[in-house]
Amino acid sequence: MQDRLLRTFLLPKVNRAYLLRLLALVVGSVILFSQVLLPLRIQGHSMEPTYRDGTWNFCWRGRYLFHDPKPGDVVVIRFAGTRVNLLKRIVALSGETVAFQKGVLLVNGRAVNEPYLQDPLPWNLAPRTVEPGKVYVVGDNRRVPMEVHQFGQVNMQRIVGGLLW
Amino acid sequence: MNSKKLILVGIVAVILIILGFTLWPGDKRAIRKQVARMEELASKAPDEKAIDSLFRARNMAKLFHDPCTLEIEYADFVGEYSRKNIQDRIVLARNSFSQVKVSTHDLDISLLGNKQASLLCTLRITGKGAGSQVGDVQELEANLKKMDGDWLFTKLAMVEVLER
Repeated sequence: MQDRLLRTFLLPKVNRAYLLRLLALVVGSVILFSQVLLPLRIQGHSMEPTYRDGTWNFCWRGRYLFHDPKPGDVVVIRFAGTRVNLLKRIVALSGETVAFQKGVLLVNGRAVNEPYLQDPLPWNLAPRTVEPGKVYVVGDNRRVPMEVHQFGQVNMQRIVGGLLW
Repeated sequence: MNSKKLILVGIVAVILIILGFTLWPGDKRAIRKQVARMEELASKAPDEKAIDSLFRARNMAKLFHDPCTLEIEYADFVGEYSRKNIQDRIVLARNSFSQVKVSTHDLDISLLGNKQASLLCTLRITGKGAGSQVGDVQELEANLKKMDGDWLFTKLAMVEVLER
C-alpha cells in the first residue's frame, strides 16, 4: 500500500487531474513568492552582524497588515519597485527626536539599549525630529564611518514588510 | 475542432500576443534600449584602457540632451549642464572606480505625449573604489525627449529615499 502511494507520488500518471494539480501548484507558487513572501538575497554589510552578506531570507508582506511597525523591527524598504530593497532597523517613530552621541543612539534624549551592535564607531548626529508619516531607520553595522552608511527617515509607504526570520 | 485543438490554439494565441507586445518596436522599447545602453557604457571592466574610458564617456554623454537638468545632490551635481560638462563629470566619476557595474531594475516608463516620456527605476552601482568594495542603490527619476528619432535624457534626478 505504502509502496504504491510512494510510486504514485514519485511517478504520477500524466492525466488531466495531474496537469490541473501541476498548474495550481505553479500558479500558487508564483503568487506566493511574488506577492506574499518575496525571496531576498542579502547583499552588503549594513545589517551585520544580525544579517550577513550572501545569506537568504524572505520578506513577509503581511507583517504590517494589522499593526504598525515599531522600534526595533527590521524592515524591508523598497525603491522604484521590489526587485532591489534596503534592509534597515527602525529606531524611532514619527514625532520622536533622534540623535547620536559618541556612538550611542538617543531617542527623545534617552539612550537606547541596542544589544545587536558590535563595536560601534563614535557617531555624532545632531538631534532631529522624525516627520509625520515617516520612521527613522539605521543599519546594525555601525563599525563603518557614518558618512558611508545609508540611514535616515523614510516614508512608511516604502516599507514592504518584515523579514521572515 | 475538438477541445484539445482549441486549448492548443488558445495557448499559441496567448504566446503570440505576449511576444507581439514585448517585441513590437515602440517608444517604450526604444527608451529601454537607451537605458540599457547607459548601463553598458557606465559600467567599467578592470582592464579598461584610458582611450576606451574617454570613448565610453563621450558616447554616454550623447544620451543626454544639451543642456540637461541634473539633480544629484549627494554628488553636488545640481543644475543645468552642457553635454561637454556631463562628459567631463562622467570621466571623473568613472575614474574613481577601478571597476564598476551599473544596473537598473524595476523600470517604469510613462509616455507623456508630444514626444516626451518620464521614467522611474532603481539604480544599482557595485564595484571597487580605491581598493575597497563600493555598493550603492538609488532611485532614479528621469525625463526624456524624442529628438531626431533618439530618446535623450532632458532631466535626471536622484530621489532621496532616506533623509538624514
